[in-house]
Amino acid sequence: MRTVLRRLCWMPVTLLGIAFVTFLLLDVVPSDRAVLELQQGQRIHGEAQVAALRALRIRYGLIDAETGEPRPVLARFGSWCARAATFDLAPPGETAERFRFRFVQALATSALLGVLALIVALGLGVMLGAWWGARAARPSGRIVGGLALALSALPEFLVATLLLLFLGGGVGPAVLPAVGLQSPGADALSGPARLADLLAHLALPVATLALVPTVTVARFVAEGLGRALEAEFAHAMRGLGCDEHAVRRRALRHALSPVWTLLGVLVPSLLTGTVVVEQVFSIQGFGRLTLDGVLRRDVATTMASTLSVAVLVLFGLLVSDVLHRLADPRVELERR
Amino acid sequence: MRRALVTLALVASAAPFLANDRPLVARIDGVWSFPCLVTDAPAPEGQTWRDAWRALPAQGGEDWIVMPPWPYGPHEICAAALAAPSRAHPLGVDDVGRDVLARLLHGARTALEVGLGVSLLAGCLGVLLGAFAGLGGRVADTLVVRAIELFTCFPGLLAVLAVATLVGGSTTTIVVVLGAVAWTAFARIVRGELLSLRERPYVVAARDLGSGPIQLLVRHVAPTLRGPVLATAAFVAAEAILVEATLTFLGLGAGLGTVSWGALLDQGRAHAAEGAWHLWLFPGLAVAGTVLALHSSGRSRGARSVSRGRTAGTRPLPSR
Repeated sequence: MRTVLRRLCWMPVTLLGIAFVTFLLLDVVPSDRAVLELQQGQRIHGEAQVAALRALRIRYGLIDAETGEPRPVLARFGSWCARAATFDLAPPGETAERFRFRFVQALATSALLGVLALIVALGLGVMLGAWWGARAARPSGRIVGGLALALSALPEFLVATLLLLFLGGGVGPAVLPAVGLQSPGADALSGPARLADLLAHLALPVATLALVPTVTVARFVAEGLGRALEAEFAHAMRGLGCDEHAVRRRALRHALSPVWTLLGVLVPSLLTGTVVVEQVFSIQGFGRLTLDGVLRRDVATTMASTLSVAVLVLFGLLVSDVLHRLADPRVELERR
Repeated sequence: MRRALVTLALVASAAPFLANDRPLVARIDGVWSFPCLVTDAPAPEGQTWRDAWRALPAQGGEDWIVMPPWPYGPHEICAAALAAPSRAHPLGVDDVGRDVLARLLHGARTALEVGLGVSLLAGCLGVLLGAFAGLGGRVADTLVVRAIELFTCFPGLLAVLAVATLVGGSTTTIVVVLGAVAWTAFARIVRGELLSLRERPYVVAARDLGSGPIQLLVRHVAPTLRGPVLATAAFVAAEAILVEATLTFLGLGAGLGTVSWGALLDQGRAHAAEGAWHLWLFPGLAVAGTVLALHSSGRSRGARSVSRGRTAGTRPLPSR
């Protein structure tokens, strides 16, 4: 309990550290946001270009409005901190409410993907693991297990592309929709039809996202089950005349305990690891928001998403350590 | 599995001598040359080395050329774009017209560089810092643990972008940045093992029998640490190969000049709908095979580690 409290107290310090390092990293990148925006906009040259650059830089707080000198990093970090303290993380030119709405919507979209993938991974993973663990030595178990492992060893963008290719209409008929989270005109549909539309759009992204965690959970369960089936209590049950089915049910409960500690690692990685899936399936989620922010050198957006990820990961680590400790009291969270 | 990995590493490091459009050794008009090593050695006038090599038996005479086993280079445009596998190009041709087999062999070299480089860099950093935390005092421990937390939460994507725009995207950039992010996996393992090891009866006994700290570390602790550290190295290397591919996909990769499996897979993704199945299937098999081999050798080592459960299933690198 004390350890948990201490780690909670450390969290703001860590977050501030992360914020500062992120800020520095964005600062060392040679071209700033103003330059990038000018390059993308209309071509202007000479005096007009210098003036526009100056105006944009003043707008993004990069240079001082009065003297025209570049503002030092620490000053900019300080003013960012002052605004962040009031939960105003919006980039210049956008109100805090609007940004918060956009940000929360993106986060919710990714969270929906992540939570669904987690449910699929746990359910399917435990089932697959139980099946695999009982047949680990037989050809059927080896083939299915090997195939699952091989699929999970591919980069996510390739898996997504292959799913699109074979189910999303690349070759053959389009079984499932491939782009976005809504069909055009879905707003006009009635409730249940809209839900069905959403679920159909979610199928491929969630399948891609759930693949690696499913196989990980299955492998944990299968290995645990293999060990538990050879444990003393299993032999004792067999000696007492229990049928193999009952033994397996008991053994499965033992095999499930490491899965809970796995959750702490899976939750943050699923919530934040959606950038590739969002990119492939054109979903406006948190990952794309972050990637866009980084590519456009949008300091405010990048900082906001970095810090949210950091909070998620820190809590995930804490939860996983606590769960680990609860599952195995011999584990010590901290040296004495 | 270990043998497969060693073979792969050998093939990867010998790639320029296995697949190249320039001969290993040539003797033209009594002059010896090694065009494979000396890249500015000129080809025989008016034709490529390969054509000269093929024409030789018909000419007779004193000249001779030794070509590599696979006489196509990774950058050489040698057939119509996206041609399907044929006898001349068994794994097909990419979207520019370069031989996929040659690119796959040279890509293995990039994979080796990335995998080995990242795990070496991260391993050195992580083992040192982990040992510092596990053996030093409370202050050292707190510092390292905070650093681990900080780096675990840190967006690797941003770091890659920052460094890539500063010094230009290259394999070295990727190795350095991923190594700088992945050391936490090693540090966590080493610290945990050290904390539990120093209470072990055999270590306590050795200390009480008069072993000094260095002897203790080298003779008694290091051998037990080897297994988990090598297991982590295998997982980190596998993850690094996958992350390299993902970075290429996100447009943050090593650039067009680099031949890598990730770049091949990205080409395959772009042309998958046009029926160029060979462009994703073969690199996909190469990546999956390597990653699986690394995982399974990591697991067989991790099984021997002192405190289990932490090695298996960790995802040391972000942004996959």
